[in-house]
Amino acid sequence: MTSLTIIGVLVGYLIVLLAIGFWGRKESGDLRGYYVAGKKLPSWVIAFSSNATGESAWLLLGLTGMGYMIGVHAFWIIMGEVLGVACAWIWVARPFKEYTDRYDSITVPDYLTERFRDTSHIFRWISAIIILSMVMAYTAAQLTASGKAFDSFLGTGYTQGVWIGLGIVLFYTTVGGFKAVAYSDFVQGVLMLACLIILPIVGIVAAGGWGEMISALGAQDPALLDPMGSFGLGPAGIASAAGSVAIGLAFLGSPQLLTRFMAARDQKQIVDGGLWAVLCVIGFDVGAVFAGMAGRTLYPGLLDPETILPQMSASLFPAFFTGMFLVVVLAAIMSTVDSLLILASSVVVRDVVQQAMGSTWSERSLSMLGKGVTVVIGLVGLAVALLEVRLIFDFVLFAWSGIACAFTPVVLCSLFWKRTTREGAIAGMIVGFAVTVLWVELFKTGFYDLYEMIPGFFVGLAACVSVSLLTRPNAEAVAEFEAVHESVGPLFRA
Amino acid sequence: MVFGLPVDSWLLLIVAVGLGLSLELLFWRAQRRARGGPGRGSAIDGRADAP
Repeated sequence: MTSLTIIGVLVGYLIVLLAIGFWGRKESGDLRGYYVAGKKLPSWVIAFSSNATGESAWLLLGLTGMGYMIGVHAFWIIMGEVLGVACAWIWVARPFKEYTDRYDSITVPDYLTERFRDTSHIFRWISAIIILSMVMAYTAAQLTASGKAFDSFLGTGYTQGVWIGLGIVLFYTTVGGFKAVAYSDFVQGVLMLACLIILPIVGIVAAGGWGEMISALGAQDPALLDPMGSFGLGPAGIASAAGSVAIGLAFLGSPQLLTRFMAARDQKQIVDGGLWAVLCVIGFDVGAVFAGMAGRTLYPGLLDPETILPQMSASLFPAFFTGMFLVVVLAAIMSTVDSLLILASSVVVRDVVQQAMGSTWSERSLSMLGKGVTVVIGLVGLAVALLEVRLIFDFVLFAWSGIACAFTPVVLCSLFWKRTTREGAIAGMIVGFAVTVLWVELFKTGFYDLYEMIPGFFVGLAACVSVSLLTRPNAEAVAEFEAVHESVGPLFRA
Repeated sequence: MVFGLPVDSWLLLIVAVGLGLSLELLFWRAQRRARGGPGRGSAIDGRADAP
């Protein structure tokens, strides 16, 4: 009976997603419609869609698991994410939107190609390699989460859970395109926010109230209440805190998030969307960490801390709400996988096939190809998820930083430093990505497990700046840079 | 200790939430004012109002 109730809730949710997919299919007939929803999205959709995409199952399973494992030390992650989202909407979104509207760009490589007056398509090829490799890893991590969630909630077994998750997301992504993705992300973001407000409140009450929860945590391990955690105020503690804050850097330049700014109806939507996005990410992160802390009090000694959310929802709520929590975990997974699949598909079809290889196929044929590519990339992610089950938190953070370190330093320089050159941008992308991968493989364990985002971002930035200083910027691009910033206007002065 | 949690933990939480939120609120308020100001250049869409 319990399983039937949960399945009933799940089926209801899937019907909503399928309906959104059908509703969005009118826009998906050409590339502009399929990849940026015709650039017509309102503020509340881009805000929730951007957060739901950025957070993924990492938020619900990974961050609640971190609250469970390290307690108050996870507040550093909240700082990084809230600052990252705020800075992205305040500083990055408006000039990026202005540029991409001028170019009529529908992908980030489109923007970089036009911004640096590149005729060799090198940005498109580099972007394709980086995005495809990282999207595979990211998608595999989300499908891993799908397997864990279905197995924890319904006992389906891991493999079946992975297949079910992929099947659902492929359907509405291929049918409805970016419009369906953005609006389903909105629904999913609202569900995630509601879950992360309710779960910690119920968890804290079940733990006997705030005071009891804190006392129990302190009794289990005093480091759970220490901002520097079990590391203390030494190099390891500082490296861990800095790495947690650095998670937020990715919000400033990751293509899957920048696409939301591109798809906004106009600049006004971006100003209003920023406030929604910051309030939403605060609710997400604070709720997830406190839920994990309450879970640690209620269920100490879990073998896999990333199952604390399913554990709490099954134990503390009636079957209907347990079904809702399964839906919310799926929502987090799907809102990220759909966006990544459509990002990877856009890079292959728009950047490689249409632009770099000069295909003369019709828009409709290219859109069909995009849907086919979406399916293939999803299947490769599925193969990785089935071959290797990893800890979601680490796998997601690696893929998150790989994309971010390739794009964020270059996007920031292109938006805020007129002296940035094409050669500098190419160097920044390659070096940022390479340093991220090399750091994980060769250096990370020897440097207090410092998160790869920090060396990847700063070395990529240094490469972009130093090579730009050695080369000459395009005069036309410099004049355009000044025009864009004049058009965008001041930030804080009315 | 405040409500059982060390003061430095509370401070970290307040800074974690407050820093980004304050920046966003300042920005949003300035942009709303710019949008609402009569006869002024708009910082929102980059166009000056018609004379």
